[in-house]
Amino acid sequence: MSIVEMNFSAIAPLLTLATAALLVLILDLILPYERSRPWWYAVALGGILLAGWYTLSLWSSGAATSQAVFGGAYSLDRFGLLFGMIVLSAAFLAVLLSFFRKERDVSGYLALILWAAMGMMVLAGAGNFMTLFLGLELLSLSLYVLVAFGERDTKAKEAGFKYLVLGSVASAAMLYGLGFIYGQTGSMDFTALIAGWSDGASTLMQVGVGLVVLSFAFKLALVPFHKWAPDVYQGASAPVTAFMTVGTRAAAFAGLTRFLLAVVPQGETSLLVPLWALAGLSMVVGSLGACVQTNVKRLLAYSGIAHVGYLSLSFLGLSDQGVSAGAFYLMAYLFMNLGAFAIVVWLSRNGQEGESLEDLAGLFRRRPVLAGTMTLFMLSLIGFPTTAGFSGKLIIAAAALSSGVGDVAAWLVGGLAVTTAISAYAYVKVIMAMLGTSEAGMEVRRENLDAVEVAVAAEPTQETRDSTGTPIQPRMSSVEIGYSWSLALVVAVCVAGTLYLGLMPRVALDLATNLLPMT
Amino acid sequence: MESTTLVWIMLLPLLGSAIIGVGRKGLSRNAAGWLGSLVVAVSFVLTLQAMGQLPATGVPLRQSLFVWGQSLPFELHVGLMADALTLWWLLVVTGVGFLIHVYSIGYMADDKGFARFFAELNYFIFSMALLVLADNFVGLLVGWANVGFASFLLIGFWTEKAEARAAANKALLINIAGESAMVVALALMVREFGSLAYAEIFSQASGATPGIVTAISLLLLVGIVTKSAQLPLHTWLPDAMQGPTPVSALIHAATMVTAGVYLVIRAFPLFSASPVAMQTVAVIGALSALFGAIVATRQFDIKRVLAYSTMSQLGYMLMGAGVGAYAASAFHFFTHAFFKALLFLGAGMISHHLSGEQDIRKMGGLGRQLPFVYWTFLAGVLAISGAPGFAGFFSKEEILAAALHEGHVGLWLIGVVTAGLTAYYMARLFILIFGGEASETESNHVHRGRGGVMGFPVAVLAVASTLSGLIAIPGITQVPGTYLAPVFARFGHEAVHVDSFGFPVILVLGMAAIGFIVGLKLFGPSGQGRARAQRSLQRRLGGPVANAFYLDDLYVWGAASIGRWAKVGALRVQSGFVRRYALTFFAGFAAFVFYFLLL
Repeated sequence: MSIVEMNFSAIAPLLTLATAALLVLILDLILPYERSRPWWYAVALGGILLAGWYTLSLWSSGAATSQAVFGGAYSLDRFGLLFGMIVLSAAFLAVLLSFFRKERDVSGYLALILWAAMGMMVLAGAGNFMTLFLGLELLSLSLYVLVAFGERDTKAKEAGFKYLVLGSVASAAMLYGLGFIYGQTGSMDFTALIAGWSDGASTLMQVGVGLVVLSFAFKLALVPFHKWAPDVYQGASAPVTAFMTVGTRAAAFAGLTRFLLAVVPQGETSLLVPLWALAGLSMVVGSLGACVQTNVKRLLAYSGIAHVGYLSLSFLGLSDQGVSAGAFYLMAYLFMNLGAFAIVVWLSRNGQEGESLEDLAGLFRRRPVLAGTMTLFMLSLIGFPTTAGFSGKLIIAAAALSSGVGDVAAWLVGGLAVTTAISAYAYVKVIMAMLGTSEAGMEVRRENLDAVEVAVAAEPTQETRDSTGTPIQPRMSSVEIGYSWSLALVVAVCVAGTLYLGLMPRVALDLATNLLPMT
Repeated sequence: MESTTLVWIMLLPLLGSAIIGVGRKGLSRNAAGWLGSLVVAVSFVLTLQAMGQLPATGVPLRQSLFVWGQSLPFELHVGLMADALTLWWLLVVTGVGFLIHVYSIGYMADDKGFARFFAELNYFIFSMALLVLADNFVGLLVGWANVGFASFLLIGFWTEKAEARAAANKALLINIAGESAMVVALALMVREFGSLAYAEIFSQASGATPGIVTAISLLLLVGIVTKSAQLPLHTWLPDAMQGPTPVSALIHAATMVTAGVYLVIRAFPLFSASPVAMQTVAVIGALSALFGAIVATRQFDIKRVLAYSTMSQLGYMLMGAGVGAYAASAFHFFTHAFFKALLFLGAGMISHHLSGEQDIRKMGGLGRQLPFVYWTFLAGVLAISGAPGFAGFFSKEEILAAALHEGHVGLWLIGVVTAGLTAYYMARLFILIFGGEASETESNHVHRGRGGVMGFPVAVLAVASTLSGLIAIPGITQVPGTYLAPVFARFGHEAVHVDSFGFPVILVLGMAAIGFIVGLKLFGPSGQGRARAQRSLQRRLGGPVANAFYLDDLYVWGAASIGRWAKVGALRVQSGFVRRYALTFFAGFAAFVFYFLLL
């Protein structure tokens, strides 16, 4: 084997993310907390922007057509770069959402977001088993910690633990599967996998494919490998959940697509059948599950399960059209989902996220603009025409029906329509809560909070001093966050994206086509 | 022909909505109300101007806007298109829309959400204009969904009322169900025609795979049934009466609910390419007409009577479209918009007078107190009952005659029975409100002297309800037929049309006359029905008719059962124990390995 050519410009986005993460940690070490804290965020955001700029220039310089680098380990095609951009956007918005974190060690948290994003990009561009697994583990390990992040937040700890335990099983399945396939083909490169079928006896190959698909299904939270998702998404803080729901899904979708394209022979649909079954199950379970929730984060977790079911319709024909539709769907999901989480962060009180329907009660009276944007995101998650959700569903349904698998496509698209109608109940419930009057209990709670605030402002009492006698500042203003430019920016971007993709998605569609020169 | 003004017909109301919505705290009531009305008036004038520009050859006016997508398997250039059908609808949307805006200035005068009301009303006009102006199915669906959302906002306008919120919720959910079926229809169009533009789809429709065209039409029909409140998905419309009365008049009678009829006529090349779909449209229409009329006979809320009546009249329109009498159907939409809006606005004046009372059993003797409402309401009653010479007579008879002409005797019979029932329940409504002695309900004297601003629209609509039928007297005039003919000729079609009603019209008139007289007798000052009705005030009405055959209860029960089941299931499955989760994981794991081993 010849020495691999080191093409650093090809992985400039990855290097940027890694360096930015280290820089954040170093800043924490050398500067005092108060002075360095703003810089952590600046470096993290700057790093993501720079990585995005590198990605864009790789895209436009035509590197996108120059295929593989590092001896085929990493692919620089339109497909990988586009998913890289989706991941970077999710990471950027997630960092903006994290401005309100009060933890002392938030530098580590930011570094982990950057590393997780790096892992996702590696996965999206994987060219052989090594990079595939490397990317998957980098993102998983970072996310285990991110989920559990939070001072004395036992729910987050529990969520992190659950994710770690079950995620390890999924990783083991992945390793097994990759091992089986390697045993059959003797190669780790995606380009050489298809040969594994030629020997006739291919049981190893089949089970290997099955295990890898299963492990991706876990990361995507497809039913029945979804059960960690509601608990983990609810337990983790909203910025982390927002990042995970979009970033992990984009990366896992990209990785799975690459793997399937490499391993599934043309027209061999029997290898895809389990995925179709999971897609159908996910739509049903996700929609029904969302309907019975009273916690917005949990509701969005179930909604995510249903959406990943819709997304999986792009595996029907595994065609260029299907993959493009999936990529477009993820862009739509990025905006509408992150937007909804931004509102959850915005409605935080006393460091508690505004995640219960009670917190939303009467929002149209109190904060009409916030309520209006939340309504838009909910409608988009339904798939309401004028919003991104509609274009996404239309394009993915059209691709599914044109995929040439006939009856299965018809059934699954029918399932899409029926479960859309069912899940509407869940999202409209959120809108109705905002439209309704604030419940009586809500009013009482607000008055109490105001009273507390007045008391704190007037005279520090015994309860508000810590053991050394210094007054404790309220961790956050005891009512909702009034106005914040970072949240406003996230919401504005998500509103614009949701409407743009819904009304004139031309540019996004152009980006999402011809993703598969690699076949 | 290229036009530059089409876009303003819809953008002006949107602009109005934005200005009033954003500036609702700063704008005075008069400013908000009149600005809202003015933009709709300008849209109306622009519509008239576009009618003038439309070439006699029937080539539609066009305005291209932007490229929606070009790198898909299909290209979509989004634009607007106005042919005779579009303008026909726009005329009513902006015309009646303007009148109802003006009426609302008076009706909503004391409401604290006055400016918000006009912002939402303008938003509705924008959406409805987009719906009829679109030259492709994406634009249509965007308008379609937004009229639904405007309707949601306006039904739930009084957000502090729990019933209003529940009604809004139901309307939105049912409409979304319809839209999700339509999304699949659009996806099928992409597959079959490789396009979503009207022109391309309609010109290929007759040569397409029959099964697919039927599937597309039936999926669209699901949306149509929800939007036009037809069986079996009509249950949101009676509840929608929780909204302010001008909303019921504009959205839930004159315009939005007719969007379904518009779509059947607009997409007639698709529907007519599938006999199954046409048959289904006609049958659903006829059954809904009968159902609505039957249920209306035992309602006591003035607006619920009118709501079921709307469902029934929409049924007539769909039946007409289903038998191929597109122009007759569009004509009935035209006259119905006038007389039903008139009846609703009259109902609004009555309940204003009675401090919000809507139960017709508590009314009576209002003829002397409200002579203006009495006479205008009478015009509406006669028009909807099909009294000869009034608007509803010509349009309804034309649909029935066309059904008979096409050999649909069964549908025709249903239509005739419905005509009799219609006359009956309208007579009942009328005489309970205006006849007999005044009941003890206090009239509302605090109500300000807004007579003019509310009276003017009512007077205009009363005149239109009386006279608008004259544009299509068989054998003499046939404005709708001639005006709309190019729409159908473009795709090589001709709407079914009859030149004379002939002998069967006597049967219809006889039925209607009997119904009317029975209604007047039973519920007149000394009628038995009136006495029985007043006795029933104390208890909830039983019986399948009064409860609309329990369909709504059935749906509510069904949804609640599914919800309960899902909740129990979710709690049991999602127990929170990681070992249970692992167990499910391994079950899935085993199934996966098993499948791939045996592959």
